[in-house]
Amino acid sequence: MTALPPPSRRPRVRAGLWLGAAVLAALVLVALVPSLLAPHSPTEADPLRTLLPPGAHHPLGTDQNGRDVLSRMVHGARPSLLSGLGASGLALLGGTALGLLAARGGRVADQVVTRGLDVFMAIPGLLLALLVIAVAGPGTLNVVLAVAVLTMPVYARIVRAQILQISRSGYVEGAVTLGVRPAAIVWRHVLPNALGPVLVLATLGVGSAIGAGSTLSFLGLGPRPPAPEWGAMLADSRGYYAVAWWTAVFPGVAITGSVLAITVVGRHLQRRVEGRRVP
Amino acid sequence: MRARAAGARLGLAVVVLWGAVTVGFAALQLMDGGTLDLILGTSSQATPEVRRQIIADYGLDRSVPEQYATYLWHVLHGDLGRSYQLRVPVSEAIGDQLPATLALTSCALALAVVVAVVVALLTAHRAPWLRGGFAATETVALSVPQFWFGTLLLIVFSFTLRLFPAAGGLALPAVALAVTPAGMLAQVLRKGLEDALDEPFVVTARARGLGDGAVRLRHALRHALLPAVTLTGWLIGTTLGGAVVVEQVFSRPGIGRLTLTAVTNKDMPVVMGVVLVAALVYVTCSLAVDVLYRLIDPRLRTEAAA
Repeated sequence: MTALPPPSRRPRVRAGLWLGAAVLAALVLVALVPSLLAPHSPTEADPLRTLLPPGAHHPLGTDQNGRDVLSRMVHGARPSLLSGLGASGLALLGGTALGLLAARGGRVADQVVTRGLDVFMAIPGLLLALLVIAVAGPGTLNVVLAVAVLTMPVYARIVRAQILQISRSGYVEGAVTLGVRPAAIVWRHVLPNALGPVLVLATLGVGSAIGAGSTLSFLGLGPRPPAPEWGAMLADSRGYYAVAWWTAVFPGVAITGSVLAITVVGRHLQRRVEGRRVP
Repeated sequence: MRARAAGARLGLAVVVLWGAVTVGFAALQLMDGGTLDLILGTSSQATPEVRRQIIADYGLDRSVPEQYATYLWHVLHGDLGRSYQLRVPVSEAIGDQLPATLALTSCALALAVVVAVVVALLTAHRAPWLRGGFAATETVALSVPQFWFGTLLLIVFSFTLRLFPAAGGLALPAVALAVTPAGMLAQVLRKGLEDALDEPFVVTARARGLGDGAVRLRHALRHALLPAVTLTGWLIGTTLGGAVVVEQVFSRPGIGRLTLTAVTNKDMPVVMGVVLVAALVYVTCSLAVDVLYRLIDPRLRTEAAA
């Protein structure tokens, strides 16, 4: 006896998904045109208006240098989103190259790449990122590089598994029989079909990359002050927890909200892609 | 057969550790400025004699393969080199700080496991509002950066309610560090429980008159544990990494401060030492997971014996 299959029905589009999509749209909008929502300059200090609580003039208060928290938050959207996209894209590129090498490069290449990935999986992600920054030095671009290195093994493994699976499929065997060159088979038949699930994963990866990047910025390894960056804003707020909670709360809401929105929308995409592949 | 499988696992563990040592050595070779400048630091007014002395002490005049062999040989004997900045052996610097970090990590993981098991047992296959509510909470838990959650805990419980000390306590940092592993484990455990509860043996158990609680605890949980144990093996390493950040938030002593100072000062022996220790923890845990698997799942034991 087996369990009954669940009743087939169209997946309901839930309220959470709409909320996530709305947050994501807002995020992209303020990343494109921050001046639309930012009431003040993100970097202009005002020594007479330091640590003001949220009020009519400064909706989310001011920080220890008298800068408007809302404006800094809004201007922080672009670097966060760009670094998340950059790290995820870089990890996708590198992971695809490694996965392709492992799956199609012969047994030695497969062994070397797979064992290498084992090594990278054995080092906790954050420590791996710190190792990259110790070598490359702190800075915005190096944070992107570090986050890409820390997420790349996952992509490489999935690309490898996908390519191996597709290489055994009927249409690839057909192409081999027809005498299509191996490079053309990989480029035209294997890769386009292998990348679908990985692309969805990369969408989800943008969210975790934003989280990881903000963590490194919080540790003081990201952009130099006074650049408005969410993690760096939270680092600045240390020491003012007792007197100015707003400097420590709102940037974190921005990070969590962005990661959450990307996760919710990404998971929805993932379910749809998987639903299509498994009829 | 069994001995061979165990040997293969051990061999893989050794390969991974050797790879981690090699990654560390490669990182050192990639450094711009060279090791000599890093050791001398800002006091670049060193006389030629001092420079020569350091070059000889650290073996910088030898070829790269020679340096690699020496490094590997030293690591094999537990010698991780000397810190450029602290001027003490790396193993000593790490050994001083590791207990505090391990205490935090194990508290956080224990908390995460307990919370995840309770949540999964209570919410698997339950009313949609209950199950959905907890599932949504888990998604949020996985999206919240640990360092910010720690900050929120500090603001609420230390600075506003004054229930916990702002520095020195273990409770708040452990909670902050536990959020992410708890969320991941709860998701995996619930999935495993729900799959197990759909199995025929659950119907049999219910037909024997077992109550719902007993079915979940005595029959379904064992099945759900397998993937969760694998995840926990991996989570231990990740949580150790997360401790680096959480320690900073709560100004706790531990590996965190040591590592971050080393990263900003390019004190590579210390960074490499921490990475190696973490890899060692990870490898040990994955070997322990293999053993645990056999304890939890009797089928693996009979298969291995056959």
